[in-house]
Amino acid sequence: MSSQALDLHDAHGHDGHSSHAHQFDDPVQQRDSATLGMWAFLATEVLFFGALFVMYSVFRYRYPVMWDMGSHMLDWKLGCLNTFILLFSSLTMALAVQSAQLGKTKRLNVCLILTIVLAFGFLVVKTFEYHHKYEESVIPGRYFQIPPHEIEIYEKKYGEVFHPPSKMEASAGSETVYDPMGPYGPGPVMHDGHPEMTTAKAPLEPVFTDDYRKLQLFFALYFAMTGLHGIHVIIGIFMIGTLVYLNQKGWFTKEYNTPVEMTGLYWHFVDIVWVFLYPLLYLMDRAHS
Amino acid sequence: MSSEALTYPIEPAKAASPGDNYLTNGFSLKSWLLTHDHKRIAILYLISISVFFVIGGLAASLVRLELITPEGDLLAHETYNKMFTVHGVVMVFFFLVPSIPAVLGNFLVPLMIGARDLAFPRINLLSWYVFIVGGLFTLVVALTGGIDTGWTFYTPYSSMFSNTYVAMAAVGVFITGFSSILTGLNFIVTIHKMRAPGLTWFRLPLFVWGQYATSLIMILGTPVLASTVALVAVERVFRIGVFDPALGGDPILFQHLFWFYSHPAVYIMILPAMGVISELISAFSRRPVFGYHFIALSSIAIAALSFLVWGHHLFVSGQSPYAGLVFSVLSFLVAVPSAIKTFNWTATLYKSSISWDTPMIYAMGFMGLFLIGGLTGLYLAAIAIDIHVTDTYFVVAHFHYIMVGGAVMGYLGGMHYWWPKISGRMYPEGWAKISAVLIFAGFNLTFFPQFIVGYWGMPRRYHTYAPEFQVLNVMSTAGASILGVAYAFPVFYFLWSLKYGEKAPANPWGATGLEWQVPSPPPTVNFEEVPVVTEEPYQYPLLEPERV
Repeated sequence: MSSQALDLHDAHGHDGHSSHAHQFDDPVQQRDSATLGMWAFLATEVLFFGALFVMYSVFRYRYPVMWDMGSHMLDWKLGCLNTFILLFSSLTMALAVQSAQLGKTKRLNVCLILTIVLAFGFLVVKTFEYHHKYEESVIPGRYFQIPPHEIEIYEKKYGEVFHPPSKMEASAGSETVYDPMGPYGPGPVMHDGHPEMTTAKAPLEPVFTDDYRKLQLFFALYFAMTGLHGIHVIIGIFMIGTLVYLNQKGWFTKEYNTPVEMTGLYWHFVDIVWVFLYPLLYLMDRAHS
Repeated sequence: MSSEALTYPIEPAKAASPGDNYLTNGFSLKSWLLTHDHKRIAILYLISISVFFVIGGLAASLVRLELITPEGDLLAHETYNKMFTVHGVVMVFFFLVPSIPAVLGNFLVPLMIGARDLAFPRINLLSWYVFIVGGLFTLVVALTGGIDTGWTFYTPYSSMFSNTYVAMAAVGVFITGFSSILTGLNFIVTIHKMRAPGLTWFRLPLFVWGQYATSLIMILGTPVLASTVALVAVERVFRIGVFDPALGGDPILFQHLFWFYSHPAVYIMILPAMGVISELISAFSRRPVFGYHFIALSSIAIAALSFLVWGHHLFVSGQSPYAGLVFSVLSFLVAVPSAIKTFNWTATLYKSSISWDTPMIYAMGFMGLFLIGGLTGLYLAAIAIDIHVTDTYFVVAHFHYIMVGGAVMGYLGGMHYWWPKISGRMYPEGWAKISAVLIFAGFNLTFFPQFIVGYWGMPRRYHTYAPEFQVLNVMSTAGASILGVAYAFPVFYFLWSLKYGEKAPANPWGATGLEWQVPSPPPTVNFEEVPVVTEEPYQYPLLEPERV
């Protein structure tokens, strides 16, 4: 991505005698190519996230109650704050593109830096959310737990008895939990001097109750989707940072501002992904609670 | 493209002397490793995928040697599993997918459309480095202990149970996927935006149409595979269980997502080969391609349909039978554009003046083998037959007829056809003909028996089998030996020709197409003047061969 932006820069070489890269006939062709390239790349990104959205939909359809509970365990206010932060950063990015097209490089600089600040703000809020989940041990994996107060809310709403993790506690230290070959063990272990394939033992008893596993799936997908989105935000920060640097070197003019525009497209894409993630993950069935 | 394009002279970086070409433009290692020239990047790809082909081939030969006898006497179970997995992973992701697009496509697409380079030369170089990094991950896996899941990484075996380096292999495949995406992106933009004046869509060489359709699949399919294998790796490390039924996940979901890319990936392999064959058939029968529009659009049709047929890999996996029904019908539909191509090639040959140069032998070989591979594909699209032959050697034979009989024959045919352009030298025709015939014979001897033994019920992926299958397996291994030797020939005579081959003229085959109008090998800038295209493609007979 950022290298694509760089590709366009080699157009604006330091020799200064040509306004476009050697493979293009003219700046218009270069600009058109960059735009099509960025849109094609965004199509790729849609499918990249698409696989995760498919997984989300499949399991939401299959485990509606646990999906509902998982959604309620997320802090919709922080999510809402982040939505506003990102939408506002989209505005500053759009203004940056406009400033570049008008050749107002100072305003461009301010807008880009504001966008970076907002992107960092988003990450800070996200970090607090992740940290909270970490403290409550709502992290998929061996130590996944559901805080008791969440279980109370769940039981009030659905009137079902949520099976406490008694089996997990009871079996702590037993072979089932610590069997390194078991599906819940820490990972594959090679058996010394045993040339044949070792078949993994099926656990004697499930470590978690069913609902635990389903809820864990929700959080696995929550972290996968928001994590992938977060990586895109970080990449975006680097891209916009590069723009700030190049702008200060005086690269962008009224005539040549394609990299700003391309980064703008990318940034709006990152926002749109969040606009889908927020209601899907945070806002399930809020009206009834 | 604007009309001023005509008047733009090209400023070469330095004054080009008549003898200057892309090969003589710098000899240092740096001039190769940091090149932005699509032709040099094609050579980088050529060298790297050849290395991977050898690795994949060695793994295959061990598999075939093991299968001479019904007992498991050469390799242990574990080693055998690792060998067929390395063979599959390397051949699919590191040879077949990049073969024609990244080597021939990289070299030829800009030349064929009259452009000076691809739209994004740096991204092109980046894609090679990404490919190499992904390849190194896979090599490390292969050298340090291998992976035994099969190239399909089926869960939950891969994510929970396998005791091999699945996570690292998955990372390798994930990274390499981006190389494929970047190449596809580059081709799409280049073909859309950088065609020479007068080169309308329906004047494009069919090779370019094939590349375009392939690129569509690359940018739309690969990202799905990327996030899927990434989740397999995450699941393996953190045990989250999206694909593990014991943790509430769904292994069928993995298969859906995996084949959403991996079935279209088969068309990534075959579509560029079909593009090559269209060029070869036309050039060596000296006739315009019959039904040009149909062949061009059938490539797009195959690309579109490719995304709707993945479910035929799940007929026995617990997918709903109604979904199976729909996927079966859609899979049959792929036969239509494929048949359109085959019939049109045949019609091109009808009453034409055919010359039997090596590329044409490969083209004819392709048509025969693709026919068998394609028709047995119909068997497998039919649910009832598929249930009988699922996971048998019938399936193995079918996809090798498409991937090796189709894609590799196309690749080798293309390599011979354009070798004079790439290297500036002619290859030795006699040796080339011998090896082409040997490859065709060896291939059939290797894989035709597998149809029979598979239909009889020999399952794939076991290193022992019932004794009554032995005769056919010995035939298959014998064929594989011939194939292995025959594949080695081109490596040697291509290298030999670099020094001792006759100097190639600009257009040794008397073929149409812009790539034959520049010197062999082409100058770094490709075209001194932007060419203007005024004619329909394949206007044979147009030029007399310049052959000496």
